[in-house]
Amino acid sequence: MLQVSPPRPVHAGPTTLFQRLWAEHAICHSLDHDHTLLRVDRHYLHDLGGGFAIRRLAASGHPLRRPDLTVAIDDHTVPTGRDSAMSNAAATRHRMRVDLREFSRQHDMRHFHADDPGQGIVHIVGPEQGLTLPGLSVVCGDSHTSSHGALGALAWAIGTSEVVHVLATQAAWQRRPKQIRIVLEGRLGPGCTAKDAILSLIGRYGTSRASGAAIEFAGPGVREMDLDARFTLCNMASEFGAKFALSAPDSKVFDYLHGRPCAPSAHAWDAALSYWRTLRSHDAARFDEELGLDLGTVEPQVSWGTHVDQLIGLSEQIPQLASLSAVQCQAAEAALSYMDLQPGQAMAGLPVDQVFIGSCTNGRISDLAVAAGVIRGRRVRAGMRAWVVPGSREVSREAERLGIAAAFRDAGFAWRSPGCSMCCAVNGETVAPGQRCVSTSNRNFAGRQGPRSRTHLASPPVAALAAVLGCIPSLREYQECFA
Amino acid sequence: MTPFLHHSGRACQLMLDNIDTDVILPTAALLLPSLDEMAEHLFAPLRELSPAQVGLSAVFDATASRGASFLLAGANFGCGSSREMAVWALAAYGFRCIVAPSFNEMFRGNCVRNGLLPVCLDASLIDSAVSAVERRPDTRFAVDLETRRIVWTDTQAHPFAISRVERDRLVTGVDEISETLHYRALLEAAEAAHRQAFAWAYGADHAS
Repeated sequence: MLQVSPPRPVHAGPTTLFQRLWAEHAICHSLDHDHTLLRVDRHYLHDLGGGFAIRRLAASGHPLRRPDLTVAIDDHTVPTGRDSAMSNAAATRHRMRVDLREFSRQHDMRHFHADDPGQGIVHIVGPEQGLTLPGLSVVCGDSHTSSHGALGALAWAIGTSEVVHVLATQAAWQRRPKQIRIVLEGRLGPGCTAKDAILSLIGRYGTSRASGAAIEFAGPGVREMDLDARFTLCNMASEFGAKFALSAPDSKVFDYLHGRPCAPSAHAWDAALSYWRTLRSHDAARFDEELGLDLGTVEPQVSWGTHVDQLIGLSEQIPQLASLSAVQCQAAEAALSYMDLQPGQAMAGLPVDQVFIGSCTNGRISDLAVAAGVIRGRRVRAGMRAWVVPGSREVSREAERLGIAAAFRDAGFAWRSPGCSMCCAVNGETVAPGQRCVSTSNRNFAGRQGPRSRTHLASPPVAALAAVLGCIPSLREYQECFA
Repeated sequence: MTPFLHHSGRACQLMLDNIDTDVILPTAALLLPSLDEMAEHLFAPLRELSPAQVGLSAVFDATASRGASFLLAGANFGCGSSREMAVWALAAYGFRCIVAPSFNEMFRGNCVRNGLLPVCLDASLIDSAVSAVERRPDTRFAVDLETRRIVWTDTQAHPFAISRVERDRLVTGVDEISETLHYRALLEAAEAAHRQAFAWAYGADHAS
């Protein structure tokens, strides 16, 4: 049997926010495999992993321990339009959602099912509903769970077996990671977004630079960003290899949360606020590594390859193979072959077939607002398939109120219902074989958006302009939109 | 999962770095009704590339690889998504051991949970194993969880790192949940303490 001891103490002295939250959630420690058992405050169960997990839980014979701390959400498998083909796979997806609904009902568990007015992508709905709160531990069987860290939560991705473990114990084993602080300074230039900032970092340092680490985003550059931008940073941190990502909660976070359906209210709000105000790294706290980024140096990015670090600025060319290390070269050759591109080729002017604006990375209202600004009064190029999939019903309603939805529809974009959709194409909404899609999602792996699909990652305004031009914009064409 | 202490078998190779879980098992295969059907889609995106595109050493020839229970691979194997189905498909295909210079940490944990042994060896050692397989495709590999060593042909046995807990899980197939619930009292105490100190986190609306 596993031998445990009390949690290993965090060192005496000034602590980081991450260390503090870790200590507050640590139950015990296993010396055998150097893992700490952490208490879980919020467990989000989505419709893809959730279906497998509840079957495995039933098979294990263990009951659901804390239905009050478990929230189910339909996002990965839901159709976002009426045009989804009926198929065996579609029937399987439907059954998984039905199973999840039945499970939620049996346990009196909150379920944001496909018809719920609060439904949407889990990493957008959790914060939006005031379920994710500063200082809480949050887990989900989805790679981009680190997104919730933008509220100052301790949030991380777990695998399917871990999901079953959390369902049965409301706790998760985790090895304490090293800590990296990324300090953002300066100001993003016109048309540059948080997506470009995090892509620049990944491009510079590689996809395994932060492998398994906990990242804290800090500095005046973060304080100036709105919440949606911080969510994008913490979301994409997983593509940097990070296990956790967070930033200290501040008045923007408190204003965001105030009045949300499940956020504390009245006396509870005051108590929460006085605790939340203490959630920051001590000035003298030490991190294992420090990285910095001057936001003023960030250029709008687009990916050319099949790994997230294979990207360039709009004004640049795909690197020559001779300029790459042996390992990068091997990866680049395979990627360029798959993407049908050449070393030294410029991305500007590359014709594209589809545009997808959405996902947990860039499906929030600010993302849609900036993108709408670029296409107002213009039309999607003939023959292009251009989709906007708002991240949640709440985002969709807000977009209608602000005229953003109308702007997209008038320009010829398909305005869809909320869901993960084409980011991972699990719901059957794929990019056709051989076609290029400029996507505001988080991964460009071979076949991610459908067999033989070609993904070009970019920010929402870059994607929107690509839809109008029918190709990846040049930096000049792009900057003209913000002049 | 089937626990084991020793295992021997043939090996096949997929010598590319950063093989991610979307390549191991594309999302299209996630909803297939059986693990065997998932296994049919193993490395599907790579199979669609010609040998010239991917490099001969990297082509996963499903036919030739059938019957192999060891997979020799590149660095950072299993990066990408946290989804565990990629590991289920590898296990359903018949792999028992993956040998790589490094693994994505979450993927490694998923392997151990599902009876798949992740073995880290120096890249140069793996290259020599690949050479052995290229010379003789029926080269026999053997791994021993008692001595924590791996061997092929006449080479010396090479040690690999594996924690006691990982090893125990592979050898006994013990249920992680039961292990944790053994400490139910600690869980309950922690929950009670949190509820007291952080009452604001237990809002009214969760079950509505």
